[in-house]
Amino acid sequence: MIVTVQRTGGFAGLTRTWRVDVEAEPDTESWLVLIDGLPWSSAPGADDGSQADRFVWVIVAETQPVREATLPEQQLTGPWRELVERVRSASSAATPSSEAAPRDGGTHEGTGPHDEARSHDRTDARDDAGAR
Amino acid sequence: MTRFIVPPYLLDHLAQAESPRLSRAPEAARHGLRQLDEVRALRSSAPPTRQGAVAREAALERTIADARGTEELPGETVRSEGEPPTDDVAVTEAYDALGATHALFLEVYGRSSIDGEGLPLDATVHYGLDYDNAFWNGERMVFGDGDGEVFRRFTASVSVVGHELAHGVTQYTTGLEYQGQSGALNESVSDVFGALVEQHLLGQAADEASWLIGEGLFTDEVQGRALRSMAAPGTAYDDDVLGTDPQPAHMDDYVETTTDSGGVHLNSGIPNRAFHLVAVALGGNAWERAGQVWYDAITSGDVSPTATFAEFAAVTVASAEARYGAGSEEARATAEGWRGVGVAAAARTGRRSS
Repeated sequence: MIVTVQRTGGFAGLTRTWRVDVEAEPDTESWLVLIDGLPWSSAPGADDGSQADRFVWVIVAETQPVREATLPEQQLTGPWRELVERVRSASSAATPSSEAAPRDGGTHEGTGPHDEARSHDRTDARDDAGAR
Repeated sequence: MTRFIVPPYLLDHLAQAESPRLSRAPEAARHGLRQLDEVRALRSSAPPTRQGAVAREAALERTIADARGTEELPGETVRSEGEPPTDDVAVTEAYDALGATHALFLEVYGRSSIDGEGLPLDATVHYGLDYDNAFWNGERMVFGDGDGEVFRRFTASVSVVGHELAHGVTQYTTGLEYQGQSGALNESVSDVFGALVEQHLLGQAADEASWLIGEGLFTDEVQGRALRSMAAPGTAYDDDVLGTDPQPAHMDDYVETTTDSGGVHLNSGIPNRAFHLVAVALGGNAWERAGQVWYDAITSGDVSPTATFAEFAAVTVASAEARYGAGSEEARATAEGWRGVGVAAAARTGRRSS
């Protein structure tokens, strides 16, 4: 079961995506418990508009039915933050993708090109320390 | 009470004179006009009983705090107004760029700080760990240090500091909602004045400036000059990890998306380019006429928080006509700039278009 975390907005307006198949993870059960326990139906939702250039996080869990939450950065706290940090951490062990928003405006699925020589894995791992 | 002997229309004419026999007179006239604008602005922004407080309102009061890698705000104060530089380059960069931003708004537009009433300017540096961002939180600017692989520290670009502070100006003027077209306008206003802060600091005319936003933020690893280009949206970077700069330069390429609050950092390319077109059409220093038109527009009270590009364009044209005259070079260049990006200024049905 795929969980996708997408970070958009920010001053740079870049989109970065992390993805994990929780059924391929060694601790699948704890993932499912975490995902099940999130308040999906009462997620904070769109930004309050008073904080410009902050990140916006979009979390999608391909459960049945699909669950999705959009959170402004300042509300990525508690279990939401825990899920994001776990996805980023697990994702960095696989192929990370970092994509700018597409020019045609549609949502972009699939991984973008990556540069192994850039050691992007290290970037993700270091990012996790601050979980930004 | 200040009175000027030489009438404004004569100062205007002299300020734009280009005779080879005039070297200091045009600048002296421009200085006189700025003083006139400052006095007008202070009169209109300050209640009458506070005329004697003009000097205090125009004062600059900066405070830089250090979050020391945490996400706690405001952080610990490390430099207050008037104190000497420390050995922390991020603190110095924030302090100096806050000063440059304050100087643009006060010296050129007669605006005392972001609220027009001398609001203290606060910034926090070293926010978070490997934090690839800078933002305005409604009260202060906050800067991360970048991850060191893709991004350097976010205080390294004067345009970034000016951009963030300009979000504060928007908060106190138009209040443009951070979503869709009004959000893209919010972003564009910040890029416009961020670029003008940098150009004014460096003394660059419109044809000398880079028109880049965030130049110097990328590490050497990245194939790109900056985050955004106002002159040529979509060309600022082309990198195998980041992808290609996705900004459109024309309404035909407006991006409909749900990400990034409806693409506010994408579609800002369109009004950014409109401003650039106006600035290069008029020539000279962009902050003097093109910037003046934009400043007049955002302080007119006629831009609604949900303004579309077309509505904002109409206010800029009206502002240019009000200051420089209907049919003036400035009014025509403003309308042409918007036409150049495929935006037709909305018909104005009244003082406020909605």
